[in-house]
Amino acid sequence: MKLSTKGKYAVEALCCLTVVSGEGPVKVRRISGLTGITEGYLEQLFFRLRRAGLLTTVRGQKGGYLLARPAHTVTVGDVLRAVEGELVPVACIRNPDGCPSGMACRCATRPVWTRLADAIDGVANSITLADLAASFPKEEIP
Amino acid sequence: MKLSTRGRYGLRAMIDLAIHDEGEYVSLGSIAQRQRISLNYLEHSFAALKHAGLVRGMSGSQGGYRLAAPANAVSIRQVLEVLEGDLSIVGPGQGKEESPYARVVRRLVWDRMDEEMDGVLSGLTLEDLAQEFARLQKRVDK
Repeated sequence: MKLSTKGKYAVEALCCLTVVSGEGPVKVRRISGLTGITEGYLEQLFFRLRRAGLLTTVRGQKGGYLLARPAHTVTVGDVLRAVEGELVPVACIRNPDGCPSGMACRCATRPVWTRLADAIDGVANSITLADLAASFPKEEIP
Repeated sequence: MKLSTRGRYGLRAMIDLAIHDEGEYVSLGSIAQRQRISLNYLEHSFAALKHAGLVRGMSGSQGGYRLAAPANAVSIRQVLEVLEGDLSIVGPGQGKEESPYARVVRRLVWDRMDEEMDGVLSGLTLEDLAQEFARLQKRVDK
């Protein structure tokens, strides 16, 4: 069971943005340099995160990206859902009609996937970007 | 985040086997029919499950498969590990290659998700799901 690279990189990039955003708007190039995620990939992620209302942009020479809301109000779940859609291991969890095998409510395994999805949601919704930034080692802050 | 069809179908077949194991070998053909999974697909999964010691197989006209251990002694985690391999949410880390941001996110988010998922999968057995399925079946048939 795997989260996509999109989700993993989006959380890492916003953790980075939160750590350095005391400087003001942050350029994609800077986040790329700090995280090792390519600029092209970050542009794609930030487009989605902006559309989801998690990021805003500031234009101009000193422009760049900023969190649209305070970091303690943005959970990892918000970030993951913005780039991944629903956080479910199997499509039918939140939508039984999406069952590809036509088993739907006679499916013996659905209880497992529902419990897994709840476990993942529970963790994702309990950790904020502020929590991540607060745990970032002081000596590593650029 | 997605679970592969191998894990989904294979687990469903194992629960079916747990339900229909009444002291005799259960043919893969009958499991395939009840669960609407291709026989060819199941043959591959069951070869792996047999190799891992979770099922016993017998060839011949009365042949088929049985669970190698009682259904209440086989956790869902054991089954999915054989079918899916690594069950972690983002896969193993790259050690020093990882940015400090990736390391913080791994420690606070991905490792905790892995722990929670592990708790769910280790705490459920094939018997739990077989029973849950039997209750579900009764409700549907009413």
